[in-house]
Amino acid sequence: MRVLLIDDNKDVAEMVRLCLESQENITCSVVGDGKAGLRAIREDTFDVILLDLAMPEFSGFDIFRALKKEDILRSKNVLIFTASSVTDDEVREMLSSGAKGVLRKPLSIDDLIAAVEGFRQNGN
Amino acid sequence: MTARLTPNSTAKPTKTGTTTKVIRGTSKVVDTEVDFFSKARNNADTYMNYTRPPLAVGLEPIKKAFHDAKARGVHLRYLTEITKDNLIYCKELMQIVHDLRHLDGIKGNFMISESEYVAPLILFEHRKVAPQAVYSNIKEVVEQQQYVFDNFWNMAIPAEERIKEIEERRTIRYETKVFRDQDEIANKIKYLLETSGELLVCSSFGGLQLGYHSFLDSGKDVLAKSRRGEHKGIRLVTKAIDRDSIELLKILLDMGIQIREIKNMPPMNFSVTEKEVHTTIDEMKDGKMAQSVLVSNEPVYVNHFRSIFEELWKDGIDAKTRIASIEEGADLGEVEVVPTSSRAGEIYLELVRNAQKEVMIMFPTPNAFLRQHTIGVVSLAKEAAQRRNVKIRILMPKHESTEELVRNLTGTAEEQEEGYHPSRHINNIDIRYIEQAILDTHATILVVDKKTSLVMEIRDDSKTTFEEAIGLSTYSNSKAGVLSYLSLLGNLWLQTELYQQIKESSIRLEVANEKLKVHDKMQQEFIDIAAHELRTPIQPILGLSQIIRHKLKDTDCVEPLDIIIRNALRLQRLTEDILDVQKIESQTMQLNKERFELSEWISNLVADYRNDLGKEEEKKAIKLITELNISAPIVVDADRNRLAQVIHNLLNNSVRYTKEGTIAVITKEKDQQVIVSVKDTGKGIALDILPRLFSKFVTKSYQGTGLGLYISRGIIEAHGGKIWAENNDDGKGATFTFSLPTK
Repeated sequence: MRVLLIDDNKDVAEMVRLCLESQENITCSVVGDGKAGLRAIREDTFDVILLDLAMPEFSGFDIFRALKKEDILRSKNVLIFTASSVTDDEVREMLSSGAKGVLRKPLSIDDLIAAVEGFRQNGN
Repeated sequence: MTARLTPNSTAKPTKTGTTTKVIRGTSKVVDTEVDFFSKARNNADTYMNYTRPPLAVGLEPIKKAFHDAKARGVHLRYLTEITKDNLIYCKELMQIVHDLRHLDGIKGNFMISESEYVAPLILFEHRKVAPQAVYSNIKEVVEQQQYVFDNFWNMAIPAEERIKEIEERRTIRYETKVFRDQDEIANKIKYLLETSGELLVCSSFGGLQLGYHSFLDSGKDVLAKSRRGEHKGIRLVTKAIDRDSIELLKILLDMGIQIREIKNMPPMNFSVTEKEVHTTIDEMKDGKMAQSVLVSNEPVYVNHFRSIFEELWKDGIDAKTRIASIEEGADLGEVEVVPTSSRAGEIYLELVRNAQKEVMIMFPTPNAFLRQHTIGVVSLAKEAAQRRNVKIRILMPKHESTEELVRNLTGTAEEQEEGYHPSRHINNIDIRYIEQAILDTHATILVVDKKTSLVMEIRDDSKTTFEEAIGLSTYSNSKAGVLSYLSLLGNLWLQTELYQQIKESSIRLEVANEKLKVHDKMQQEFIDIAAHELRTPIQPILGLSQIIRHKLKDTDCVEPLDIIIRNALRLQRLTEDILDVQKIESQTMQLNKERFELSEWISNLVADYRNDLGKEEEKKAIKLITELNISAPIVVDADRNRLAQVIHNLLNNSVRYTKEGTIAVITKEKDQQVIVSVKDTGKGIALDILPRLFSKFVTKSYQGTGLGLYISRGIIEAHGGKIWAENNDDGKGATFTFSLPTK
């Protein structure tokens, strides 16, 4: 199971990687900036994409909008993973646009693992 | 008359030799009359109409008979109607008879003595002797006629009185004449004074000066008479007493003249006695005004002027009072109505030209400013400001038509303030714009040096020239009048100041408001960033601690790692609570309201909570129950997440203070409200914090953030509900309750 984490905070990224890779059959790739993240999504296939929103230059919002615009958002398992204050309306909006879920930092590892494991496909 | 008279009757002898007879023929009548007088011994009374006195003195035998009788000591009385025609005869007759009296309208003729009665035929033909007469010596007839005569005599008035009356009437010729010659006028006035029984004078100060110098002696005589009670005195009304007239008036008052001040003088001076009036009249003569005096004794005129005087007198102010107030320095101004606009314009320019310290002008309309600019007022004002350092203050409505002129007046364009205030003390000229609506007046008001005012009413503001536009004007140098205009202008001036201040402060307010909005936005951004920055580091602390704890779960590292994890979670809660507090206090908490059934929802919520509670070893002794109103569904319109937050907070609170016992969540519906209570059997609320239980950072626990109840209150109040807490009646534990409206 391949997970992509797009997050500019290296500590958070390392924690997530350690957490997820402690699980059976999970590899976690980490991308630290928006543009590289968007490229990775386009060029590769991941089972789950954890997307941080607040990033400098090219933010998670920009990636989100780009994916939405390219109409590939719905085909991806994108989980918003943010420490920003997103309102309930924004959450609804993102979910209806094709995000698969919204995770608010800080999140306990049990909740994180549960959220990712939800996308494990049978036989994988 | 008792005697029966028959034609041709002759004497009818009686036993006493008395008779009543008719005498025929004028000579016989005369004879009878002469005979009558000669026989009279004590008295002879004669009653004759107005044609007879001339006969009495003109007819020699009769006249002689009178004289003879008088000489014998017979008392002679004569009663007639004295007229201006028989006056001279009556006067002569008075020399003959002892007593002559007058009675109006005498018709009959008769004479009566103590023993005889003679009645010549009634005849009104002058100088003709009656052709017949009745004679009687019958005692009853004589007595009766004597009685008749005495009655008439008593009704009559003395001849002297009547003669005086006639003579006076003859000399009083009613006439009205105009005198132009000064000497003649002086004589007339002197005569008027000397013959007066009362003197009423209405005079300007000039007239008084003249009168005082020319007629002082006559006046003194009159006043002396007055003191003796022979004259009703002199009363005088005059106009507008001022410092110049005060001295003379005091002299006149001391002399004993009564004086009153009147506001409005008639257009002439006049003096009037009980019988004559003198009044000045202005006449055009050879193209020049000349003052003449009209003298009239016609009662109509005299009475007219007397009544004019009494009216003036009635409304007059006692001169002594006025003089006293002037001497005390009180008001001594005058108010003058200026009827023509051209005259008003002259006064206007004159006042501004002579201003010493200050000129205040209020132009009621932009047109008024333009017109008055045209006649030169504005440039005179500017000159006064520049050359004489006179302070010019102008109040006017703002209008584009006047803008350039105002700029020229006050200086350069750069010196203009933006917007409301056109200028600031440039060249001592201060112009303030005032809302035309506030002015609510149609008069230009000018006040110069706080001493004089000129108020010019606009008759027609559409006219372009001053003269056409202005109607009546009022000039005043009366202290009270000027001060009231001054205070009016002062108030308007202040009003513009206040208006400006309000305007400025509302602009400031707007700016501040903008700033506040920016500030709000920045604060919101800051909060958002702060939230992000607070949450972010917690994530690796929490996550990595949990990972390590998982890896080292069988070592003695677990306990310290649990402490780290617990504090990371506490930090997380605190972060979220602080963000909620910020939302409550900035009133930016957004509620996602939806309608849902409360009882079942609470039931599920409590079940989840009970589940979690069961996982904690030390909380296992707590029994969590619900007492829900399930007889009818309770529908609320609320934000589920926020409401859950409140219930969680209340349950956390109860759990924190309850080691063992029961926590009950109770719902009730009452008066269109749902009441939700969390009742515990814990240690209750410490009395010292009970009053501020729902304030920030009020806690006795080291576990909570001290914000839970505060946030709960914020959430409930944002829903339009109330929240409160009380210790239970049985002394065990506390009950936290909130209400929500169901409709």
